[in-house]
Amino acid sequence: MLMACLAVYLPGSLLFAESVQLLRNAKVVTVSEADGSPELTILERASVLIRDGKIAAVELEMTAPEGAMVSDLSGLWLLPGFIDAHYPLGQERGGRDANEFTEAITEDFDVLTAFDPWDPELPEILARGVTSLAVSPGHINVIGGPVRVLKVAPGVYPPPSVSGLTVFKASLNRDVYGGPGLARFPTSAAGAMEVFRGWVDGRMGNPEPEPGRLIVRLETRAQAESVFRLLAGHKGLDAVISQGRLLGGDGHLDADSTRWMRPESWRRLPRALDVILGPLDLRDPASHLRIPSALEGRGTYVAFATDGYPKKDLLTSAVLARRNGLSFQAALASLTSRGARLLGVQDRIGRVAVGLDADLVAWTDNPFTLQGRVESVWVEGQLVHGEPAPGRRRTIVRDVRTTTESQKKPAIFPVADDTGDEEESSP
Amino acid sequence: MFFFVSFLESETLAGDDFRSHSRIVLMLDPFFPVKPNRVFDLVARHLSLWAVIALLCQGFLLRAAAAEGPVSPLMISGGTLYPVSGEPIEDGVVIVRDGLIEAIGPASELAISDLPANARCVDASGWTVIPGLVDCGSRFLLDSADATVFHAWHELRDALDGNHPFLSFVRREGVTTVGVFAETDGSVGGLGSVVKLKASSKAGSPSGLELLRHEAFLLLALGDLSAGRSSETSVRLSRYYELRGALKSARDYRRDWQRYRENAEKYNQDLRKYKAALAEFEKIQKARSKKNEDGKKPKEGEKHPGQARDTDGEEKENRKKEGRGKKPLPPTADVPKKPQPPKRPSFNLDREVLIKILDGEIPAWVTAHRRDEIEYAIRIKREFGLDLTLLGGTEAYSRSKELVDAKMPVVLGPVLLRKRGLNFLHHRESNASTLAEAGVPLSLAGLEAKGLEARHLRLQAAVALRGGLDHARALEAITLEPARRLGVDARVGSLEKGKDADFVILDGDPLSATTRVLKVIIGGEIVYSNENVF
Repeated sequence: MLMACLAVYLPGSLLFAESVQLLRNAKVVTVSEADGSPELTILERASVLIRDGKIAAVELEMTAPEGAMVSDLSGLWLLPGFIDAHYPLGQERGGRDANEFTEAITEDFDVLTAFDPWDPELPEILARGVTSLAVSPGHINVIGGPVRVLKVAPGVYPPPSVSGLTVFKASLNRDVYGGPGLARFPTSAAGAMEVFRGWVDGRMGNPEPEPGRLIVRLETRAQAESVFRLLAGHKGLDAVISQGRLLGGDGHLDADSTRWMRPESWRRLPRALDVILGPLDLRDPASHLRIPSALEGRGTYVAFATDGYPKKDLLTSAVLARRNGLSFQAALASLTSRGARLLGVQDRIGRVAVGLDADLVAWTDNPFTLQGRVESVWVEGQLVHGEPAPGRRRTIVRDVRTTTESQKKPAIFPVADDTGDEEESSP
Repeated sequence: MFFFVSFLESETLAGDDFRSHSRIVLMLDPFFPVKPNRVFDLVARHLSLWAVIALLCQGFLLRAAAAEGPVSPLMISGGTLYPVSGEPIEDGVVIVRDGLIEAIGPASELAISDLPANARCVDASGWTVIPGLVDCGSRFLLDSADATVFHAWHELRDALDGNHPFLSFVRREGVTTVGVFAETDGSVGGLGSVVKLKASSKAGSPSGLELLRHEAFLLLALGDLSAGRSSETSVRLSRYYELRGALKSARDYRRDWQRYRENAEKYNQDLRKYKAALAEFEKIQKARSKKNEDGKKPKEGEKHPGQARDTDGEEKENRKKEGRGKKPLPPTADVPKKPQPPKRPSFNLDREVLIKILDGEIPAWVTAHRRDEIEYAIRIKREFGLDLTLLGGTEAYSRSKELVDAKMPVVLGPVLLRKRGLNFLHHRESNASTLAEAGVPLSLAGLEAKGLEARHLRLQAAVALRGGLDHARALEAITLEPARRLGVDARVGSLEKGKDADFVILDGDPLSATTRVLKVIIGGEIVYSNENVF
């Protein structure tokens, strides 16, 4: 009972049943970014040691420490969990939520209060290899509020979150000023820009401004120029451009988005910047699908997002970009490490590396072939999706003299039932 | 011809008289009735005549040359072949002649002897060869994202445009045959056509395309095909009853017309009999009146020929006359009754088309996503005995047994990305594998508004594979099965001797999203070759 209470009030970490895990014989594929360009690391048969929810070691050969739960992942690819770089609430979630259009600035909104850990979509999201969501308020406010990086842990409230850089969601596009005619709401693009400028100036009026980052939804290149010029005068605040669905709602080519998203428009932007893009869809023409690779060639790095449409698949954006010129390591980076870097959480998630959270996904095959299927997902070392396949023995390495049963702590949410395959083996 | 004219011109310049001018006249009109006075003139006249004929025939000669079709034989060797109708063949060879597959087999078994010198050879070592993909459900080439208001009897082939810019996008991803349809707002859509994405000089083909079949199937709609509209209760109910109503009235219409035809037959016979009997009657009347003219007037008792006769009365009178010893009149005949022609039912083109699906001449395809819509479809199939195929089928996995019992093949709609809308709420990637294991004939199709999703057909199959479908059946679901649904499986869909030479050459596993299409061949002609091979 006490444990359960503690569990509820420790939002920063998951409690887990096995404190030490060894994932063996996996093909570990990860991308790290030293000064910008992605570096791909593939270890054909490696072992990953997880301790207390973090990756303790990644080696080619490793002996299992005492008390470790060993999983044999031979034949499987082990990738870091994908990061959905932009997941605004208030999108279509079965009609359960809407955007907050009463105020233009809602900077104190906390998305944690609106995020539903029992949303039936979350297990589906896990099954597609996504372990972290950058949840933000909707597009309809000029300044929406802070963006929180939340882990996908069905049934855990509050969901585990990762705090890094202070990130705000901002919008200057049509959603903001095309809305209902409330007096406090901007009704024009210029009005939206005024509100935005007012907020930035207000924030920067503080003698010690907290460094932060804005994820900005823009409409035209002119807006981008204004925003960057405005922010250049303020230290500590920079912007990441977020562009959602490239096409309009029902597949028609949205004239505005093509004006903005033409590769030439990007090339003329003031400086190298980061971009959040997505979701890329099957219906998009090839000219749009080539944008990530065009940006890559230019030194602008893209992080993929589903933009709050849970029915969109994050991996598909990367696959379509890959089929249109993006390299494998850039595509994988755009799913993992770049999103982490954009959100300032690269020390916690986004790579299979020592010291980072153990957010790992085991795939049956290269996910970019679209033939690979997610077999298991670990979030902070806890198996949250998938059963070990029959034939994959999960063993607990046990010293026959001591018992490790008492070291098990209760978990709040249902753990994959693995007791059937348990067998004892002497170390 | 101009040569001869100018030659003669120089002649006329030499001599400035009427005769030289007349030679030009002769030249231009070979049939001018003037006797030539020189052998040269005779020869010139004949040559000019043949020149005129040649000019006129030029058009026909060119057309004949075009109709000959593609060029030299083709051999593809060294790659892994996926014939679909059999096991994959390592290091296989395909020989194509006159646009058809002449031979296919492993290199070791095939004797490549009699290829002419101008044969093209494609070395496909390290690559794979699959049959050209068949997309059996597309609104492609029609320029419209929304449902078009069609009548069922509109001929789609008149609206197809092979110069459509999307054609190359789709073709370069390996799709060679497409089944095109158009919907209406109601429950009965239009007839589907099957086209190949290559120009053909055959009569009746739209420009830039080859028409394989023009009444391949009729589209019916119980659910919505497009992603945007959700299938609400009122829509579903109204569609179901509207469809049943349409089929019932088509059935009644067919019965009415059958009855009408039988009645018309009968009427024709009766009419013939009537005419014969009328002729008889008039003969008799004439004989009687002739008799009467021998001094006697027709008795008052004798009625007008048009009126009904009282035969008994006549008999009595005849007997009376006989009794009086007079010569009996020739026997009277019944005036035959003129038969009434049967009432002709009104003609309705929509119902004429529906009769064809009731009779099974044209298969019907019905759009249904939700499980209750699928049940409606099965019920309709049983009620009317249709040859029905399910299109869409997002929740077909829950009704796999019923589909097998009803012998209903399925064309699965968008499987790659789940879409918004009630239709797609219970989408599952394992849909395809569940149906295939149950034994339902399975095809995969794009079913997207602009038909552009046809270019991602291989990705659809890859995702179906991810959901558990095995590789061979996934490949069949985008080649031979759709060809069977479209009724063109005698020509396309697999690599077999005698079938059309439609191939796709890829640089790896055909169902992997990372594989690139290298060449697309239709009818032995390389219609797309990927230059960006790196």
